[in-house]
Amino acid sequence: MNPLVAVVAVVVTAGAVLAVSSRNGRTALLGLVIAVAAAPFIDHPLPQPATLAMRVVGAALAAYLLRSALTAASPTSVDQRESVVRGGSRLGWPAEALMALAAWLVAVVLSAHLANLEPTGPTASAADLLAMFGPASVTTAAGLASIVVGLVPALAGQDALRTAAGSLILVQGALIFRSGIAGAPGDLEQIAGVALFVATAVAGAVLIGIEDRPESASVSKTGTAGPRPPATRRRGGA
Amino acid sequence: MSVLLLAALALPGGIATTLLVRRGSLAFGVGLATAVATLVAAISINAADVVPLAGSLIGGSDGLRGLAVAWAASTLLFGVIDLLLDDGPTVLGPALVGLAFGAIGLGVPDPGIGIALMTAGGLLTAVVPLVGRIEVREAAPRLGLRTLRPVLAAGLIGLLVVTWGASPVGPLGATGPLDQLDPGLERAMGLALLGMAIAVTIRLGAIPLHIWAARYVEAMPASAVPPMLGWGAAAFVIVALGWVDVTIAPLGAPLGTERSVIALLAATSIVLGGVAAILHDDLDHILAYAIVQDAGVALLAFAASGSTVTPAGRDWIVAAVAVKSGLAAWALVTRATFGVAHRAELRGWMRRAPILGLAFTLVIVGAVGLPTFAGFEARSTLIGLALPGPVAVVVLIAAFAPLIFLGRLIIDGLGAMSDHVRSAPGVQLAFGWATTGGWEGDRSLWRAVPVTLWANRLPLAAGAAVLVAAVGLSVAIGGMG
Repeated sequence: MNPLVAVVAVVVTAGAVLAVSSRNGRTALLGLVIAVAAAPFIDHPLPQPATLAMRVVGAALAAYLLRSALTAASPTSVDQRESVVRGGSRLGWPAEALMALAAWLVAVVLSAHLANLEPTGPTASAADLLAMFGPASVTTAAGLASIVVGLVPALAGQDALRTAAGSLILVQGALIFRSGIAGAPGDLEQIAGVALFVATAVAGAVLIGIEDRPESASVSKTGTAGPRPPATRRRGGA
Repeated sequence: MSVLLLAALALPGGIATTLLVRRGSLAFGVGLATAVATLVAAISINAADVVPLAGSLIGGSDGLRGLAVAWAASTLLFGVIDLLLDDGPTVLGPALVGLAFGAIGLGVPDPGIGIALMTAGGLLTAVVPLVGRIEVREAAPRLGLRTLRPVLAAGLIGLLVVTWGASPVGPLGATGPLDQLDPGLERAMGLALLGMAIAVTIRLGAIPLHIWAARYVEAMPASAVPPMLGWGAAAFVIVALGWVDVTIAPLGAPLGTERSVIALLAATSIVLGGVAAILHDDLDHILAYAIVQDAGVALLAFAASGSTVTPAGRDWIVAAVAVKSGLAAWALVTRATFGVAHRAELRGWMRRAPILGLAFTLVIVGAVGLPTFAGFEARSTLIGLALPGPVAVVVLIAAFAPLIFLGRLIIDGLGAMSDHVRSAPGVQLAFGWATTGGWEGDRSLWRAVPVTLWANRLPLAAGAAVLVAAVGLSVAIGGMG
């Protein structure tokens, strides 16, 4: 067991739980920053310094994009985000934390099975149990926990901030989970992961922006060529 | 190097175009210049050109060159159409970024990298064009959420499946003779194939996971459809097929139940997609359900096994996307020309706008196809291999639904003109000082050229639509090369 990797995995999980469960927009952002900032250090062995730096910068950029979008939102919307219940988990952080803990347990056992291709069985000793918490196991556990807590806000969130935070936690969870069960990714795969992460943040920032866009903030010159009535563009039928 | 060059041009150019979106002319200038350079880079892709990149290899191929050229040409032409129709540069930038991600994703052998990049490109092409769209302003947040989720879900399912494939218990880690395949591993392989097929179903918008795609097509301008539901989705499918080819296919497991489920989904999408396209009368829904039907045929590539399946799947998805790009271009210009999008209101459109008629004729030839066309042969191959005899006949007949839902638009177009069509300007060219008008005080060439172009923007846009349709037809004939 590598204590440092275990600590990083716990920090990533705690940040993910905070990000998806907080009802305060800025606290959720803080949790997101904690999770994404710690995640690059979870790989065992650590990637090359340049790749590690790129992942850290990518995580910082993602957090900055959401922070900027949140700041640029109208004051009313920021107030709403800081007070309205729908912005956070309806279950509350204890339930989210318990779900993350359950995911940890499942992932550690799953990871042990992946390593051995055999169930450890009920006769495993205490030393064997401790050995189950190897670097790959805790990495897999942090990834699965992030997936579990990020799934609902990402795929069923009702507002942009919650969806964006959940999506980032979900993407990060998938990337960590991949690292845990299939080994450390190559440099190009890590770059692709950073691209996916930043693209998710851009999409989230755009959603936050258009959710709070005042009526006068349109920027393009649409609909002036030819007699195209905008009213005909939206219909209800599928 | 040529693939990298394409990405190195398209990525910063696309980002710059997106950042300059508030300055429409400058954004169009940067975006169109980038698109031209990207097209040149795509043409220069060399099959023997493989370079190491960050511990992996990235290289070109004949298929990638064909796909990249069609993708870049489509991006350029839709940018021109958006410029001529004064539709704003909101789609062009993300489309270029999606092209950059797509080229790299298809140029590397690792499907995990490919799926991550296709998902990144898909997210950007889906959500970023919503910024500044007046016509979807009120619905934009909801539309954005509805679009982000399936693209993200498809990508993450694909990533998790690829992760399993690369893990120690995945088929790549399996040892022993193929005829002693472990039953547990076979079940896991079946689940993985199902997982990948579900990811593809979501990403393509096949039935029953099609609602988000239909909503996107009906809400957004047609120029936003090819980058998101067309080329980006096609690249995702090609990466997924590549994964099946190296992970599932070599073990030769029958996976009968799993393939039957996928075939059922695909057949449902082909039949119901065609029926829905026939039942709807407006261009947006016809385009949406034509895409849904094409998605069903593409899905059959995951339901069949054999050495011809993957090439047929690639040929089909690229041909279908190229042809539907032509349909989207035609729909975009037709709506801009006549201001309406329903069949009843479009009666006589072909007589009023023969250039658009030419574009549509190319589209329908590509969509229906002829024997020896790569798209036609691929569709027949996939249906024949994936479905049992009688069902295959029914589904093959249903796959020719474009004959009805596109053919009736030709009949409408040749009929008596509706009031909307009669009163529309059509696409007649305007020449001379009097017809272009508006610059009595300045008759210099510098003034005359842009004014003449502007006066002829609708016929020029129709000409661009003809080019998109011609690209589509050529891809339908030749496939991925």
